[in-house]
Parts: sequence; structure tokens; C-alpha cells
Amino acid sequence: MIEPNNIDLTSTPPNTLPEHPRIIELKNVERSYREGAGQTWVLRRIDLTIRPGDFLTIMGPSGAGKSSLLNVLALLDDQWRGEYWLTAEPVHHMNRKKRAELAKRNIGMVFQSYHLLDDLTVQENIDLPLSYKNIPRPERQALVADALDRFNIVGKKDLYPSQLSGGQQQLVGIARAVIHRPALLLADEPTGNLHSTQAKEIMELFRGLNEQGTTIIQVTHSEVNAAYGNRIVELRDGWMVNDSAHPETRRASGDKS
Amino acid sequence: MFVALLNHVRYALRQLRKSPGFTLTAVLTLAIGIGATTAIFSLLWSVMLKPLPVEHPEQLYKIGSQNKCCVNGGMQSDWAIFSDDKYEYFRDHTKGFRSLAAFQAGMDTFSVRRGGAGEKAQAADGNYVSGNYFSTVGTPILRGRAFTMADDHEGASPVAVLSYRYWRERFALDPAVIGSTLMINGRAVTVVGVTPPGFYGVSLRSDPPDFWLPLHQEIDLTKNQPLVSEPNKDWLDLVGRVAPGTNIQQIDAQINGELRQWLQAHAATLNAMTPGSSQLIPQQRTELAPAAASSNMLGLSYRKGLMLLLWAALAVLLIVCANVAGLMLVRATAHRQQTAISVALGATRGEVIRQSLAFSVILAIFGGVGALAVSYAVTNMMLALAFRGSSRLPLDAAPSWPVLAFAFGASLITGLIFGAIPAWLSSRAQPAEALRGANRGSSGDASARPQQLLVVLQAALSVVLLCAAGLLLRSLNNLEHQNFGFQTQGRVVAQIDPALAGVKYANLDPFYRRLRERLGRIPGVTAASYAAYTPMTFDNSSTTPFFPGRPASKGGNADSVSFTSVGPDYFQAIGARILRGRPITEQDNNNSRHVAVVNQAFAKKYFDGDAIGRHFGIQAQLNSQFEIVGVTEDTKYNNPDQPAPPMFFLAMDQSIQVAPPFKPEDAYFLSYARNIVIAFHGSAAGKEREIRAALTDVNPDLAPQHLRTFEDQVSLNLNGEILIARLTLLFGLTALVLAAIGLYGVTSYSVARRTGEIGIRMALGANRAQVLRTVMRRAMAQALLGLALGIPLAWLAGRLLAGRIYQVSSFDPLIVTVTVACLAVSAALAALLPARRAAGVNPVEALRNE
Repeated sequence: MIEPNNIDLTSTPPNTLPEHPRIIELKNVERSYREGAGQTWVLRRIDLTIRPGDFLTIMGPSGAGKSSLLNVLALLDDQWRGEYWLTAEPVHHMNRKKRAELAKRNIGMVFQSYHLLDDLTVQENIDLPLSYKNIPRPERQALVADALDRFNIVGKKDLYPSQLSGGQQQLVGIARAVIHRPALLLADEPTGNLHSTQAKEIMELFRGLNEQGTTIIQVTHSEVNAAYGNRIVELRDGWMVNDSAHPETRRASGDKS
Repeated sequence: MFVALLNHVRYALRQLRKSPGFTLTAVLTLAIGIGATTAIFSLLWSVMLKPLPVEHPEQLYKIGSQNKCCVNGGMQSDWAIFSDDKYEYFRDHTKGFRSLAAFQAGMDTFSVRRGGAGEKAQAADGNYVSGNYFSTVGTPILRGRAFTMADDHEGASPVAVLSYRYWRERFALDPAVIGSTLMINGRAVTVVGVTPPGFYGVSLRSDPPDFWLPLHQEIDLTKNQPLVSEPNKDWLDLVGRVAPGTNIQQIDAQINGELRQWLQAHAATLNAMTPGSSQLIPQQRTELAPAAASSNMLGLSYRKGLMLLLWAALAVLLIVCANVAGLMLVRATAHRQQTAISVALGATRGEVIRQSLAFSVILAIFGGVGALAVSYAVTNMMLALAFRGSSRLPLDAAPSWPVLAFAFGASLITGLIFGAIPAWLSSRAQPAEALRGANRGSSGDASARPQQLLVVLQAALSVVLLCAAGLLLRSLNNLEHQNFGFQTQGRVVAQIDPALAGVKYANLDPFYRRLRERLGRIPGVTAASYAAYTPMTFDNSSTTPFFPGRPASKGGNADSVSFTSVGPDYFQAIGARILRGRPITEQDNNNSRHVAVVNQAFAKKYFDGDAIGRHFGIQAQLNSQFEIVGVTEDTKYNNPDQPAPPMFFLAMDQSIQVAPPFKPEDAYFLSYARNIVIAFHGSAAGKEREIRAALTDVNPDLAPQHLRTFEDQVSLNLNGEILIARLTLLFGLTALVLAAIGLYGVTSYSVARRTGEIGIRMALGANRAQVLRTVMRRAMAQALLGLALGIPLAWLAGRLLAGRIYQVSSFDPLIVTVTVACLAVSAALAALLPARRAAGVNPVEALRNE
């Protein structure tokens, strides 16, 4: 059982961003896949603005394009068209290497199936994002120790993922995602594999992080989880059909003109 | 049971057909490994294991376990060749043999032409044998008849038995040859029979005889003093047939007793030849040994080398097993769900193992079929390398039944070896996990661990083979480029036989003058000379020197020194320096004192280096016959890997004096040149036609039997070393390529298995260079482990090779460095492709598949 109430998040302010009115701005973003002679669209004309400190939930039925949008936002996918500004930097003008650098600085990812590496201990899993940065080893060790302490998993640091419960694994996944203090935390169905009690605890954790200033974007099917955020965006067949922050965005899923 | 087996086979065949890429790769890999091993076995079988081509070869015993050639006088200590007189003594007194036969230890070259045909004479090699030879060794005669004892006495009408090969090549299997007359060395000899195909005699040598002649015809046919009538000239191998169940130790003791009795009876003559030799009689002994092994000249020459190559081939086979086992593991993983379904439907562990083994054994048998082609090619290459210079090798590369059986057996064992690990792993399949898709996790490559271990093993073995090849190549290079004490560049050596060309002893002086004069007129010639034998021509004469004022030597190997007789300009022609004094010149003829040139080793051993003006002889009574006029540098005449032994050079134009019991004719052989050597300005290539023309000018019958550059002649002495070094290198490189393929396979597999993990890493910030480095690091770690295991093994292999390598340390840092570099580069290249593939992983795709 995880104990989010005991987790001290006060000492983990996110990376300070310049005062931008928007952390993310998408303009007319589209994504499609080639299928034989035809093309399947998974994202259509997405216009989206996200402010620092937002806790945004992306919802929609299966196949609506939620995860595709999250992958675009995470800079994991670079096959989209349109304009994407992240912290006022034009991602759409960047090459693959620069996008990767930008993501490394600003984004943390939490996955539904945790995606911890089975061969690495808890401590090593948390260290992983730092190992890809030019951070001296002692500093990394200090950061990891700090994260273990904050997430109250010091006692588990030498265990392997297979020795942890699902909730504990996701806790490690979140610790790993925020170890480098990203401004933006992206979570793809973070509680999809968890019992409802554990899910609640994880969501409380997200709320705490958000209150500390981390911008969070989550993909979920759960209305309960969505309630932790302050804004909901709904996708259907690749179209953004609803944005709680902009009620005028309503669009019928069939309206694809 | 049989039906189940048939089902396994049918299913395995279907699986092979369904994955042609896998099948082709595995079959080709297996063909290389099994083919290399089969090729070595093929040669090993032909040279060492194949029974003699006679009836009941196990009943044949040779007197003397060593192989000696060609004529010996005096004591031998460990006797292996005998005179005709000794042969008759053993034959008539030894009770244990059913029959005892004699055959010439060496061979003579004869001029042969068909009687009355008016054709030109050609050279051919003949072997003198006793009248009971064919009946004793037990070979049927293909056409005509064998010799009888009636053919083998002085005055009998001359007869010959031809080998099948000679009958085919020289006379196109003409049946009329049997019963016809051949002019052999100018004498009419009737062909009475032809031996069956494949019969080469009792002694397996690279150039077996063209025909056989009865012993006592030597009296009429030899160009020199007949050996058959010399009781103290030993030149015959003796082979006896025993009845089954005979007590060999008893005959052995009897023979040893008879040998000493005979020597005792001839003590006076022996003492006259070498004073004091009768005192050595109690120590003289011989040994009765199975004929197949003790008369196998090829086996004795190549045994150690072939065994070494067999080990190398087995190492390649092991690597192949590891490689194919790796492929099988990949395949087993891919088929895990199928196996799981089988288990879920009730297949027992034994059935899973049997199915997997049936698959691997059938695969190996296909590999074995391919291996026969590889084996044939490799055996041909080995025969060409090992027996360069042999024109009638009694071996061929066509696979025999034992070789086919070996290939089949090797395939079966190989299949079981490489199939065992995948079979075992398949049998441990957990159906529930496999059916659930247990590999969803982002596990590293724990499942690839058996493959990684196999790659480490392959890398280690290839390090061993490459290091061994490096040592052998450096050794060969040292042997080829050592200071032989003569020059090989721009020189040609030819084998001639003036006696065969009809030059009488009395006419030798004008013949040699004409020879030198005519050879000297070839454009570009700087020196031309002749000698009884020249360096590296597989010839040797040795004797015991005697010195005035010193006690006479008792003979034996320690006092034996090599010698040859040479013409004027000889040292210049072979490019050996005269360090002190002068060389043999035209003035050294029968009108001047007998002179000799000695090498440094001789001068040092007998005169502490100060040899000029000192005297010695080759008989105790004539111990100051030769005055030393020059000291030449130490020149290697035999054994390129041994230091030059003491040696002296006599003037061929001077007839030497002999004291009883020898007759003047006994020394005639010293006056007949068997080699000419010609030095040119620049290259000697392309001079063959001009040399042949010059020799024909001197005497139309003086066709050279061999005409080679000195470089080629030296290289022929290194046939065994060249064969072993090149094959070990070939095996080493094959091993390296296979290890690289193995590493490629396991890295590709690992990358495929870890696509999800790579996606996660990239999602967490790893860039492509970091992913590339991670994959490369893991692959190189396997290569490093291979090195860590292989280098100590290579050191051990080097220690085992120590006796075979020349002036190379058994652990050579340069060779190890080059090997490490080769393995590192191969491993890096092998890992780069999958690593680049890993770096190109699309994290979105990877995570979606997770």
C-alpha cells in the first residue's frame, strides 16, 4: 500500500519557466497513418492552448486519438503537421535532436503499464532520466535519494519492479517522471491498471504536484480521475469536440468539414 | 514408436520448408563446420587410418619401427633397414614368420622405353623387391603374374611388375604391354604383371613406385655399385607375415638375437669399416612393429600436423554448434506459444524434447550433405598444399565409405549437441505464461542469456584459433625468410641423372666441362655449377669423419656429419659466402691434392674454428686425405627449423681414394651430379626453356626430372607448415565470421526483444546516440568476455604449439593484440547494424506494442 499523504511534495518545485501565458500551444495539428493506398486520420485540426499550472484531462472513447495527442505533446511522435509551441519554442521548426533536448528538459511521462525496466532496481529506474543528462554522478545520487525520500520508498530502493505491487510500481514511475523536475507531466491512463483505492492515492499525488506548480496533462476514461483536474478536453474520431475551458469549441463528431 | 518418430520427422521437414531463410542459414553454417571436420578426417583416414591395400594387413609386421632411407653402412643402434645378406639370414632362420619379404627403402629412377618401339626413353621410379614380396604382402595381381623366387636370383631373366597407375598413364591400359619387353636402363625387361588399382606397396609415400623389379636384377640394372651383393650396405625394409595368434614378442626376441649373431659373424669387416664398432654389437637392437604404421612415410610426416588440424576443425565445429544453437534459440522463442499450446493440449516434456531434437538432427543431416561438398573442396585444397611437387599421390579427395560414415556421425552428434539447449528450454515452457503473452514486460535480455553465453564461447574459441593461426603464420614467415645460408632469389635448381643419360664414369670430366660451358652461355647467367645434391632437395649423405692424431670415432649418430660433392663455382651459384680460405675451383681435379671446404659448424666442432690447412678423411686408414681449403657459412640443407649441422664439401672433379673393405667403385656415386644450380642476374622466372635447351645440347637424353626456382624448392620443404598455417588461418577466420554472425544474431534478437525498453528509455530522455551506445556496450561486453576466456586458452594453445613454431614465443603480444583488434572490429561491425536499428526505434510504436 502506498501512502501519498506522507509524501512531502513541498520541496519539489518544478523547473521555473519564464513567464509565458501559455506552456503549450497547438495550431491546426493533424496526424494520420498511411494504410495501404489510403490514409487514416487520428488527429484533425487540433487547436489547443494550455497555461502553466493547468491540470488538463483528455477524454474520449477508444480510438478517439487521446494517446496520439499525448504522444505529440510528449514529442515522442514527430510525424504530425501543424504548429506546436512548447514554452514558446516552435517545436514544428525543430529537428529531431532539438525536440528530444526540449522534451528532456521539460517533460516527464507516466505510463499506464508503468514501464519500469525489470532489470533495474527501484533506485536505478528513478535515476534513468538523469542518466541521460550531463549531471555528475554525486548530484544524481543526491537527487535520487531525495526522490526516494519524498515518495517514501527508501525501503524499496533495492527491490526490482517485479517485487512491488502495481500501486508501488506506479509510484516509482511517477518518481521517475518528476525526478528531473519537469514543468510538464504527461500521464497516459496512470491508474488504468490499478485498484480504485490505489488509483485515488495516485490521483492525490498528482493533485499535490499540480498544486506545487507542475502542469499536468492526463489521458483517462475515468470521470473520477478527471475531476482532479481543472479542465477537460474531449476527443472523438480525432476531432477535439469539447473543451471545458472554451465551451464554444463544441463540435459534433460527425462534423468533419 | 516408429510412427511417432515418422511424425516428428514429417513435422520437422514441414517446419524447415516453412522457414527457408532459417533453414538455408543453418544448413550452410553446419556444412562449413561438418565439412571442415570431415575434410581433416578424410585426410587422416587416407594417410593414417586406412588399412594397407593388401589381404589381412594386420598380419604384416615390419622389422624396425622407424622409417629410414635410403642406404646405410655401419651400426644403426635402432635397426630399421638391412642388407640382402641380413635379409636372407632372417628369412632362413626366423621360425615365427609365414614368410619374410624385402623391399627397397628408397627408390631408383630408371630410363624406360618400350622395346622396339623406337620411342624416346622416359624416367620412371622403380622399387626392388624380393621374389616373395607380392605373395608375402598379399596382393592379387590384376593382370599376368607376380614375381616368384625363381625371378630373384643373379642371372634370372629380367622381369617387372607395373603399377596400375603407370600402366594407365604410360601405356593407356594396353593389354599388349603384359608379356612385352621394356628397355629399362638399356636392358630388356619383360613385363609379367600389373598390380590392382590402389596398390602402392607396403610403404605409403607421396610418390609410390611406377614398377617393381626383383632384388637381384639390381646387379644388372644399377648405374652404381650393386647394393644387393654388399653384406654391409643396408637398404632394404623387411616385412613379414605372421599367422593369426602368433606371439610377436617371441619373434621380436628371435630377430634381435639373429641381428647380433650376424653382426658378430661380420665383426672383422665392421671393424675395418669403422674401427671399434664391434664393441657396439651388444647395444644393437631392432623392434617388430605393425607394418601399416611403421612403414607409413606420409603418416609419420603428417601425423602431428593432421592431429593439430583436427583439433582446429573440431573447434570450428563447436563454434558452428554454438551458432546454430543460437539460431535455434531464437526460433524456439518465436515458437514458444506453439510449444505452449502443444503442452496445454497434453504433450509431455519428453515429446517436446524429441520433437525439438528431431528437428535439429534433420537439420544437421542436411548440413552433413552440404558438408560433403565442402569437405571435397577442402580436401582437394589440402592435398594440393600438402603434397605440392608430388606427381602421383596415392590419395584422392573423393569421399570413401568411412568418410561418409564420419560425416553422417558428425552430423548426428552435431545435431544432438546444438539441439540440446533449445530442446531443454522448450521442455520448460510454462503454457499459462506463454499463452498470456508473458513477454509483455520491459524485461532486458535475460531470455537471451543462453545465446549470450554461446556467443562468448564462440568468441573465445575464435580467439584461440586466430592466435594459433597467428603463431603458425609468424613461424612460417620466420622459416621462409630466415637466413638459410644461401640465396634463393634468381636461382634455378634442376634434378638430372647423367648415368641415366648414358654418361660413363670415365667421361664425366668432359661432360661436366661441357655442361658448365653451355649453361654459362644462357643469357643472364652469373654462375652455374653441379653437386651430388643441393640445399633443400630432400637428399642427404652422411659419414663419420676421421682426423690424424685423434682416436677413431666409433660411429653412431653423434659423430655423423653430412657431406656433398660439388663442382667449381658451386658456392657462388647457390649464393653461400666463403668466410675463410677459398671455394672449390676448376683447379681441384685429379691432378691436384684432395681438398674440402667445411662449414662453420664443422670448423667449430672439430677445429675450434681454426680449420684452414687441417686434414681429415672418411676412413680411418685415410684420415688425412682431404685438406681443408675454405670455410663457408652454415647453410641449411635439410630441416629448415633446425640449425645447420656440421658439413663438408668435396670436389666432385676429384676421384677419392678408398681403402679396403671398400672398392674404388663404391665412391663413384660421389662423382655423379644429381643437381645443377644456375644463378641469374635478376629473376630466374621464365628461364626453363633455355635451360632445357642447353641440357639437351649437352646430351639429348639429359632431360631434367625437376626444374624449379630455388624459392619453390625451399617452399616445398615447408609444405606441412604451409598447409597447417593456412588451414588454421582459414579455420580461424571462419570462426571469427561465425562468431560475428552469432553476435549479430544475438544482438538483433536482443534488440527485437527490448524494443519496448528502448522506447521507454527514449520516452524518458535517451537520445539515439545513447541507445546506440547502450546496445553496442552490451554486445562488446560479450566480445570482451570472449576475450577474457579466450586469451588464457590461447596461451595454453600456444604452449601446446611450442614444439611446432619457429622462433616465435608461444604467447606473442603482437599476435594477441592483432587478434583482439580483429575480434573487436568484427564484434563492433556485427553489433552496429542491430544497434542502429535500435537507435531508429520509434518510441510511440514501441510503447504501443508494449
